[in-house]
Amino acid sequence: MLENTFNLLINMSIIASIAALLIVLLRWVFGRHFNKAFFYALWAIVLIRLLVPFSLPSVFSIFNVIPLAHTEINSKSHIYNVNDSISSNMAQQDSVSWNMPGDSLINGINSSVPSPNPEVSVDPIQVITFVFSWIWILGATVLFIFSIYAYLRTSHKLNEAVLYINDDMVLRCSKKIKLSRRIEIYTSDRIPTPVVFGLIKPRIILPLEIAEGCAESELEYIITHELVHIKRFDYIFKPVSVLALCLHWFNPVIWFSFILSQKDMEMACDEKVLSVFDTDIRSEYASSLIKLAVKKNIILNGGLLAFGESSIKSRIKGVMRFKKSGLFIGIASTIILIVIGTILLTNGQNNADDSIGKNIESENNGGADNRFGIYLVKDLKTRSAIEKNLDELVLESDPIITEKDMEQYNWSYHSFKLGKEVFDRIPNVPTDGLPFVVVADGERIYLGAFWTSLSSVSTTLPVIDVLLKDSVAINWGYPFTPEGVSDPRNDKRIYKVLEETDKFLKSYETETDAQEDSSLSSMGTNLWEKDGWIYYIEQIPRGGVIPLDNHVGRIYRQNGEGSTEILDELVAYRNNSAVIFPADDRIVFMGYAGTDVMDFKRNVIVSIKEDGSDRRTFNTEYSGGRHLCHDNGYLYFEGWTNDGAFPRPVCRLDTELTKNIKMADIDGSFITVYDGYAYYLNDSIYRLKLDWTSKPEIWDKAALGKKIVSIEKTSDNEYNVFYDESSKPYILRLPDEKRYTTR
Amino acid sequence: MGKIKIFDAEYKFMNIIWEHSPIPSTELVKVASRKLGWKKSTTYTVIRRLCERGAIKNENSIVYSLINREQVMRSETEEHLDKVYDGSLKLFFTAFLQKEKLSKDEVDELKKIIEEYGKKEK
Repeated sequence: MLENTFNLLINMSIIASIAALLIVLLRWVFGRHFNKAFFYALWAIVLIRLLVPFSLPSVFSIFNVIPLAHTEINSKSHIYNVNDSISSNMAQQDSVSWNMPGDSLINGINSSVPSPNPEVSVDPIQVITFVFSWIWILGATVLFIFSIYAYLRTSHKLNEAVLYINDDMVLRCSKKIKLSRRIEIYTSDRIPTPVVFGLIKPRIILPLEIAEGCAESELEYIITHELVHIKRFDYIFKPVSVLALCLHWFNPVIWFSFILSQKDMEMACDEKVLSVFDTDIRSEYASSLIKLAVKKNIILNGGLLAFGESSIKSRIKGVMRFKKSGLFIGIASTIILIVIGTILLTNGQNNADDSIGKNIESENNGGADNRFGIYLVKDLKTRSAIEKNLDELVLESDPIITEKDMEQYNWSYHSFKLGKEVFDRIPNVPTDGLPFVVVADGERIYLGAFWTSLSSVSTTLPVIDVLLKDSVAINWGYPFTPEGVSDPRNDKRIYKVLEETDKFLKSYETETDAQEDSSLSSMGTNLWEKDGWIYYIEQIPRGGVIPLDNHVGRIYRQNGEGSTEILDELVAYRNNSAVIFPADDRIVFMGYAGTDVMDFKRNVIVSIKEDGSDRRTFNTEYSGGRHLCHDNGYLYFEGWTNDGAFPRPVCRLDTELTKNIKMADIDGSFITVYDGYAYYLNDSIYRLKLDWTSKPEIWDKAALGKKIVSIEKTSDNEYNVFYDESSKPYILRLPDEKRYTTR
Repeated sequence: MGKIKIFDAEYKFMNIIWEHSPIPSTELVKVASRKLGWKKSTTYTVIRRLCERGAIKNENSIVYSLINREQVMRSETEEHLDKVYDGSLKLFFTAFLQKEKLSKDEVDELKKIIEEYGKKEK
């Protein structure tokens, strides 16, 4: 939050500095040709840039031309670049932990690899940003509090100024500058120079000695000068400028600009006064400036504002040089002001607008260039992005994902495959996501966010889980799909674009071509075939709150007529594989009891009918139920004991999950039950007939005395046995004692 | 009894009290608002300060003058010793000009500039 604000502020500071330096340049080159009012108006641009965090994109913006500005405006993207390497490191780590055990059913019986926790790793740039943002906020707060204190203290003293009655003169002066507000004049012996005081109801306060000792004509100049300040609302701009200074205190260019702008403000005010008097009062006016300055020598000398040429000298020169400007200069400066205003007040165009232009073209000539795009939202947290209008969001200029990056877009599941290089483009995703906008044909369709399934933050936005490499999907909501709202992903404009760009995979309904099925099974893994239905499982990037290796998959089936049925969406994935098998007329798998966040913390045994109905769950003690398997009409799994404690119970459950019976106590790690025998691992692989009378027998003598690292189930009754991490596994096939080496 | 130091604003306020004393403080607030343009809080602040200095007393919301014009020493402000105040004036308030310490030479130089420009025009 603070870091984001700080980043935004830095960007504003840089942009404003560029504008300021440009104005200084203009001031230097054209200083004599234009009125000071012109430059004063230009300073307003800097002020706006310093305080207003957003602006309209425009073709005319200087920030299209200055590449330096563009890269620095995205100081965040600079940070991303650095992060990219970190995130790709992270990705590598992830893939190690993800892929290591392959399709293992049984793994890490004897050893488990602690999962790397990417959240723990510290990004040095984030640390620096963090530290600097705190320094900044500290400085700004101190300055701000001090300013308020100084302002209030001074106000308190100025409150005691005494009403000075000279209505005639005030009216006369107000009339000269066409000011309709009625302004009261006060006197005080506590101020060295006339000031305007009060933000809501400004009044002019004259030093007592001036009010009493100056000639009528001089008083008239002074009062007119102050009234011009009031008319121009300078008395408001000045404290606002100080506020900007407090925020941008670290930027010397802004301090410099503040001083110059104050000088220009006074001189612009002098010009106005000179121009409203019918006679040439320059000499008198300049003389009274000197007179007022020397009237009393105040010890405090300029300080902050004493800078360069003494201000009185430049003002006197300014006054003496003053000519009532001709029509030409007036028109010219107005035009230049508008032009410079457009150039400096607008931001460079981002690509969203660009692509609108492009797409109008491409629609005309039928070509397609980047018609579907996912753009990162610039410098905003997901939460803040949600609060804004879709059209208000400032997007990065280049899309992070386009239709060219995806082979095909599966319209049913909004899933698609991406190359690794695409993931490398995605910056670090914080736990509250990284917002993006999906753009089709230049139109912003919906807001979504890159998400990470490490996150415990939930959202109703469509999300892309970045921890899933290769095949991703835009899932609606994390971890669950919101209910009762229309799906933003199904927008017709996206449909149109994808269809026209041939990226469209109409999922399973229209697949008549059997060959086309290859693309389909690339989305889901073909599990088994039964009664004309093919059963598939597909990992979906949602859920998996905790722990790291827990994910969610869906099981669906299709028949020859092309109809697809989703059977269950809560299949537990661990280490990239799921435990799932047909058990008579039912399907049994490790899954989740429900869609509550807490449910995702532990797996349960789930049994559904083949059509997905009659969902039953069985809550094993302490998330036990390891190595669930099916044998002769029953389910078997390892019951819970304290980890590492032996013997361990082997439990039996009917496929409708109603009756749980302990079948044996085994002195080892349970592998599976096959044909009435429980197989388990100790110093070798043993088997035990589940009749409570038989003794365990060594089944695989060859493994005796060897340290078995892990066993993976490769098919129904085949296992890969690893002795150690480097050796090739050999294949065990149940119930035979035969062993095959993999070569 | 020595003379009491009174600044300009206070002196103008004292004038009202001398004219009306004794005067209920609520009435005084109204008169000060009309004649001096003061807010209620400002008037009470000054009443309190003058009470502390023994120039007036405020009993049961009635203000009495304790001194006469002869016992008052009109004094010049010492505000210029206050840097916060000076700085704040410069920062927050649009002023006619910032006071600068000018030497005689500098004044002469400035005058010369005015003269020169004046001549050029003619």
